[in-house]
Amino acid sequence: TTYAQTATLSISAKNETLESVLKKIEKQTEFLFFYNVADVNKDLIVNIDKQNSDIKEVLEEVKSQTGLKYSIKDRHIVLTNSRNHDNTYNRIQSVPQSGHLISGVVKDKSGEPIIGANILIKGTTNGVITDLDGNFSMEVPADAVLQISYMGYINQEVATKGQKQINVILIEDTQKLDEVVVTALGIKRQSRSLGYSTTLVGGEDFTMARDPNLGNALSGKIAGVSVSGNATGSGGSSRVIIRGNASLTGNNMPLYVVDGVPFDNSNLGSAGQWGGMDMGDGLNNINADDIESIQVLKGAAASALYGYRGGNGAVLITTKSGKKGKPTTIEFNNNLTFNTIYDYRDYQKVFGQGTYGSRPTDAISAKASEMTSWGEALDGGNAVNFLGDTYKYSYVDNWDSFYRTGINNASSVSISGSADKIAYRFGISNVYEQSILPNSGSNQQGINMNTTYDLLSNLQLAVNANYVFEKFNGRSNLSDGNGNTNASLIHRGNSFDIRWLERGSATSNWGTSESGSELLGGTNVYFNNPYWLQYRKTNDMNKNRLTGSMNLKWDITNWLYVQGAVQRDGYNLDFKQVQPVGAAADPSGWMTEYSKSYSEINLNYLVGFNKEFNDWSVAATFGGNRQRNITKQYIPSDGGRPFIIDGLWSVNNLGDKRAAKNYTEYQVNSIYGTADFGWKNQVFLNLTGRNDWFSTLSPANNHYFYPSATLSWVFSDAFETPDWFTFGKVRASYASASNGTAAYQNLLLYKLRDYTINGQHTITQNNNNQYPNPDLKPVRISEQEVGLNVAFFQNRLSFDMAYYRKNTKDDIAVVSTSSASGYTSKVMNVGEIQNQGFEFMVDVVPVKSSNFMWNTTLNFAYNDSEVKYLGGVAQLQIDGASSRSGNVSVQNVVGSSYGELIGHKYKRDDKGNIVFKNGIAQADDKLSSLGNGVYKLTGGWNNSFKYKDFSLAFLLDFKVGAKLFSGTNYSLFSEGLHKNTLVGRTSAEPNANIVGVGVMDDGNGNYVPNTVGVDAQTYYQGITSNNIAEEFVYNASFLKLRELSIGYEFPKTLLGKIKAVKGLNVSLVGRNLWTIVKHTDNIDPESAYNNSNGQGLELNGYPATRSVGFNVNVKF
Amino acid sequence: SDFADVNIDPEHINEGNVPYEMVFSNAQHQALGSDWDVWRNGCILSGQWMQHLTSVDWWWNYGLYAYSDGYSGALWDGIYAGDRGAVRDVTTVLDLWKDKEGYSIDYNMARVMRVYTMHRLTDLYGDVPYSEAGRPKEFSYPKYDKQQDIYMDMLKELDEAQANLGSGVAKMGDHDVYFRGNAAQWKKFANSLMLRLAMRLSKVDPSTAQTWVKKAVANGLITSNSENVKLDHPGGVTTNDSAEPYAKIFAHEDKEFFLSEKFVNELKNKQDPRLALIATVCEDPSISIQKSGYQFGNTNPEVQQGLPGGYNISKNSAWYIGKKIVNFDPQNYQSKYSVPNRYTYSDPTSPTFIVTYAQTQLLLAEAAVRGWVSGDAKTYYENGVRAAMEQFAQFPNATKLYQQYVTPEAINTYLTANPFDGTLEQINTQYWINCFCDEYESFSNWRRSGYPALQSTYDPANPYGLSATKGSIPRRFAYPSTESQVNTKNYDAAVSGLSDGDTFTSRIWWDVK
Repeated sequence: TTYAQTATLSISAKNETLESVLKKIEKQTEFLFFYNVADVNKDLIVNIDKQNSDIKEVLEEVKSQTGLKYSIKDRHIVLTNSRNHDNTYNRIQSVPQSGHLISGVVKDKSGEPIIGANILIKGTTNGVITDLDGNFSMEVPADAVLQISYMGYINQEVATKGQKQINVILIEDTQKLDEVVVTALGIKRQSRSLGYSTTLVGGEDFTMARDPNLGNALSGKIAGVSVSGNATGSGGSSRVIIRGNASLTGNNMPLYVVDGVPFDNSNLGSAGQWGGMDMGDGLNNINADDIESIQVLKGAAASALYGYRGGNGAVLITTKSGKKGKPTTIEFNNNLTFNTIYDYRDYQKVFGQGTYGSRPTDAISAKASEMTSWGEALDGGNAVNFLGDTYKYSYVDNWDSFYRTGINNASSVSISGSADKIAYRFGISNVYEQSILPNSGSNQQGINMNTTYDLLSNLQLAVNANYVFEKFNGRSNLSDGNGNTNASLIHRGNSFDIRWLERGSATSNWGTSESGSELLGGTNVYFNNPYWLQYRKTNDMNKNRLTGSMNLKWDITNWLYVQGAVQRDGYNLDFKQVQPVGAAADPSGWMTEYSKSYSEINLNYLVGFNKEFNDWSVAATFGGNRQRNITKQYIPSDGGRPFIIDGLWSVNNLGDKRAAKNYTEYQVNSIYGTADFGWKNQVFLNLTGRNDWFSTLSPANNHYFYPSATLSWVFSDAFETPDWFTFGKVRASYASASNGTAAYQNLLLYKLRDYTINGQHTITQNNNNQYPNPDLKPVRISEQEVGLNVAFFQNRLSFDMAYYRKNTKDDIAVVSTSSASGYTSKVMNVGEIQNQGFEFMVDVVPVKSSNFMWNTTLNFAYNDSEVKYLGGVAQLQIDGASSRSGNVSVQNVVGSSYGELIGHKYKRDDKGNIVFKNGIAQADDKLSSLGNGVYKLTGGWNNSFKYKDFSLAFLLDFKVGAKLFSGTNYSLFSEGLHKNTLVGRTSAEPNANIVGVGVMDDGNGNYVPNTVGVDAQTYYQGITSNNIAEEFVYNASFLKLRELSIGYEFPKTLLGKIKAVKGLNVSLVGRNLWTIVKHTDNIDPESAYNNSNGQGLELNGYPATRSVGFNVNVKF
Repeated sequence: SDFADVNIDPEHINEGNVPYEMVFSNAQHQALGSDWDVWRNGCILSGQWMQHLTSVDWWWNYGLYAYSDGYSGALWDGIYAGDRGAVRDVTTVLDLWKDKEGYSIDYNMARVMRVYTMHRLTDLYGDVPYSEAGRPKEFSYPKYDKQQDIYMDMLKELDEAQANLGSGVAKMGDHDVYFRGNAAQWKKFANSLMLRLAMRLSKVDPSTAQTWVKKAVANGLITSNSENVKLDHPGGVTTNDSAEPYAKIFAHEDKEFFLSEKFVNELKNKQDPRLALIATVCEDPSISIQKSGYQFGNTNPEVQQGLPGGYNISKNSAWYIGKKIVNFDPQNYQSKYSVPNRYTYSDPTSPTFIVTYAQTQLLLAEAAVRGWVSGDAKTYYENGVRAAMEQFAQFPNATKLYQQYVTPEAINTYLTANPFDGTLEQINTQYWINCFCDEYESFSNWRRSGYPALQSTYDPANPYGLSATKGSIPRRFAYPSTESQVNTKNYDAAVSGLSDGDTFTSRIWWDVK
């Protein structure tokens, strides 16, 4: 049975127009009418009175009165004028002799027929519309050019050239200059009226060559959005920065909003100078298959309505939902990719493990040289390993032996559809990931629900929920070598076979010595056995996350509505890490286990008003929000150790067990409003204001106002423009925003000791050495923006440009104070920084024909910043941003860009020669800037091709203008693994004397050419031991082939036999396929070990991976 | 309103609910230092400079007066700020109790406590933040007060405090971990400290010194060992700050410290009965107290021997100790040389001595020699030495050793064999022995008095490039370098008054040549 057979309707219309009758039917049912206004006169008068009738009865009545023909397919009804021939209108007066009949079919990209598309013979008013199967036929002159158009799609012209049958694929108009876009707080506005820059990315851009972290998937797609997908491993976090870093030490990440619900994206743990693991962020929990679109609000003007949360821009994620009138669809998608290591290593393979030019000849010398490759030339002769066994002295690539191919398999099934008063979509997903590290991986299950209910004809309830269960095990530490599986593979001697460290099997005590302790290949207890780390030392994380909302909207009249919502985002996380008894660095073992819960509830309302008065349109909203945010954590204090007995890895087995609890709560109350004025749909003025009250500030100064004003002018409507000039708009805006304050920053805390002194407990005034500031204010960010949109040739060529200047004042920074004050720091409003930049996007459709289509989009953005003021000090270190080796830190320096890398250069004389002392290169006495860790120019070049049923898309991603201090290369130098350390070493004299090129002090304070030679190992290790950082600072610019997909859409004709299947697409997908340009030795330029503010530091991250696989999409 | 209450962390103590008497307890505890500063300033630096301790392995170069910012500045950072922050905590309660009804005794105790805490800082660094220190609300970048002004104020504070202490029990009661709130004891503490500060001025301003010495005596000093100002550590363990800090280092954290040759010989040559309670020789002193097999060693005075400072155990080094000691065995030397005694100074439950009866009597002996006080110098001296020996009875786990070695006969024998000779050298050498494991006081009294006569460990014939003093024994600690970066203006002003800049060799105000 079809919908038409079951649906009933009641309609009574007296002397009403056809248009009004059709609207009444559409309102009561799920039917949609298609007709061509040139063919069907919608002002025909109809009288009709049918109660509980089926659609056919009603349409027969219409037909009898108007003579219009109808045809029904599912929920689509096409009306045609029966007086005309078929569905051809404006019947061709005289068909030229050379004319002929042409027929064809119009479909969209996914192979769905487009019903009601207009086919017009160019230069005439003659045309037809497509029928229910997208088919059309008409008589045309010999050299006719057909213009095919449909709302929301790019117009297409096809030269008939005598063909009798043509197939047209219409491409959705991504420009959509007149589309309705979702802006801050979910308020819908016409794109043309916006006075600021926003970019929409469709969900399909995330499903093919996908990245498990949605943040990384944004890379290269949007001008002005800079993504650092770092070496944090699978399940790691991403850093998404829009228009530069506006806060010196605070949060610089945008606000994420999923279906209207603010979505926490905090990094749940990251590596620092002394190591640690990346625990991922919130964007891991969004399934690409559920995304309808992502709208990025870049500037403060766009996100001003988010008030204190809008200072870094906003990313609005809309998930897929059921649509009224669409048939029930079941969609299955499977994305299977294989991740192999993109090996950037280029080690020297000439000299093997050893020291000072000697190979290990006994177990003791083997242990002493575990991490050095300063041995003899690898000749395949005999050497002895740490076990005392003799082996063949040759190069070993341990990565092959240890790492495995990673697998990502994301499956999802969704069902969407609609019934009488309900539209729905339910999706379930399963993401399985096998890490490249053995015994490590993740599993994530998600349930997504998106429903709307028409409680009354003007009262709509929307209920959305997204539940995710995530499980991750076997994460490796990053940065520092301790507990870092990757480090234990990167730095091992050149001829050391990692398999010597196995002993046992995967099921029984890998990496464990006979005595039950960690089997080490050397003497450094912090340079671990990777088998021990992956099989004995364990870590597990479980996370349950529920994000959901209920939204009630009441359309009081057609110009006034009220809505209210309850929204909640929350997760519970359990983490357990066990270092068993026997660990080299901790023989008695330790464990940590904690549970953390996070929740944020927002209650809000909005009253909206829309009305037009002659040339003027006025829209206004007024609303309010209550936000309550709570984080709780229970954790054994001071880490749990030691284990009382061996083998029970539980907190119940800890000798010292005390629990600690941390709790953070804050609230923000807000009211906001907007006023939008339009004149002739051509000039638009939009004003917004928001006032926030913060619980985190002293009551005397706890509320702040954030205004914005934008102006835009569609000048192409004001003047007579030539045909090829399709659209032009200029825009300007000013806005003020913030990024809030953290809880308890104005509260002085004390700490209770858990031991007694002479029988008494004591309490110390302690605030993590940070003195609170009762007069704290939120940071103030203001931004000015001007922009231009132009489009030519029916949008086949369009440009979008923006220039902005963003000023941050009163930035909250932790400022060093004299320890004699009682604290070494205090929280202050001191920072001033300016970001300015330019964004550019060009979208071109160079080729567009019935069979072939090419769409290319280039975007790039340039951002530079200047630190203006730091409260009187010249520089301020970004919290925790110090290299493991201690010789480079990331600082904000007055007068420089955000995030300078500060360290020692080579000491040089006036002429620039390196100064040597005793044959060793010397470090400059003073610290200097080695470059900046933030990319200045970022962008991407996106291409999509379509040939018949085949499609090809690729994305080139580039970033330019940042420096990276490579801690890995620093160590590789000292270990003799870096290729540059080959200079001076020969097979005959593996530790030959090297006389450094430069100068030395002649003893009287004069520089003379250096004549002192030292052996190779001492020479190169002198550079690292003198902490010369300059040698290891690299240009981090790169160009990568980020995404590639090749797809085939099975045509309907092929699928026709399987009635149930509506669509089938099979694609070959790849990600991070080719690094076309890079300048970093041995590592991926995108290798920072965390996603914190201090960018530009790299050490011992996960190897980069390249993923290749398949995507299969089936629609039923 | 409720909204503002949201910003109160319900899981931690804050200004609204903190019991301040417990903050005072923390100041009392942390004013004595912790392993943070005691390891750095106390053992690695001043303990070696004063030739109580010697390291021939990791820290040997500090015995040749090498400089380390982190070591030199540790006391400053630990006492002023951080988790320990004694200056900050005592200043907080002092300001709070100043005019608080019923808190007179508590307030005056806090004044004494602040003087005790600050006198150590100024003695070690010179001009330091004093009036503005520990008051973060008003002063993020406190100025450095002149040491002379600090001394005058400290003496005034002690005098006022002792006058107001009188008798009775403080409101805080048992939270006073020194005297359980006994005001009379605090009065004697104040005056004995006054005597110490007054004597500190003996070089720079003898007449002021004399005035204040007299005042201290008139006010009433400690009269017996039972009135020693000390902090006991019952149940102290080395896994947190509950242990005696020097003991925590010797017993657990760092086994690199041996007794110096100078110290052991001083005791040994005079057959001092204290030797058996100060030194011990362990087969393996590196076993931590937290492990099984911790050794108490051989306390027999006969086997004790110290190590000379300024040498190391690297055979190829120019400072190889084997050049000084023939047949030195760098592999097994640990089992031959004396380490601090495990029943006394290495016992985590031992007391920290703050101001002792012995010190007070020895200072009076010197004052008598100088003619500043009435009474017999010899009597004061012998009281002092006797008290210093009997003080060992206060180590909870040394009773047996004490009874064996520090008998009345042994003390008398010592005093007879080493009779008072009327010299300041003899008096202050005794002071130096009593101050073992109060290395800051040892260092200050040595600089003031010039005794004991210490030979620099630096051999000019074998110059050590990293020596920050070119061989002379340091005269002060250098300020932490963070001060030069963070509190630049005030730091520069203070350093401009130092003859040799911010170095180990500049002399502070009272340490005139």
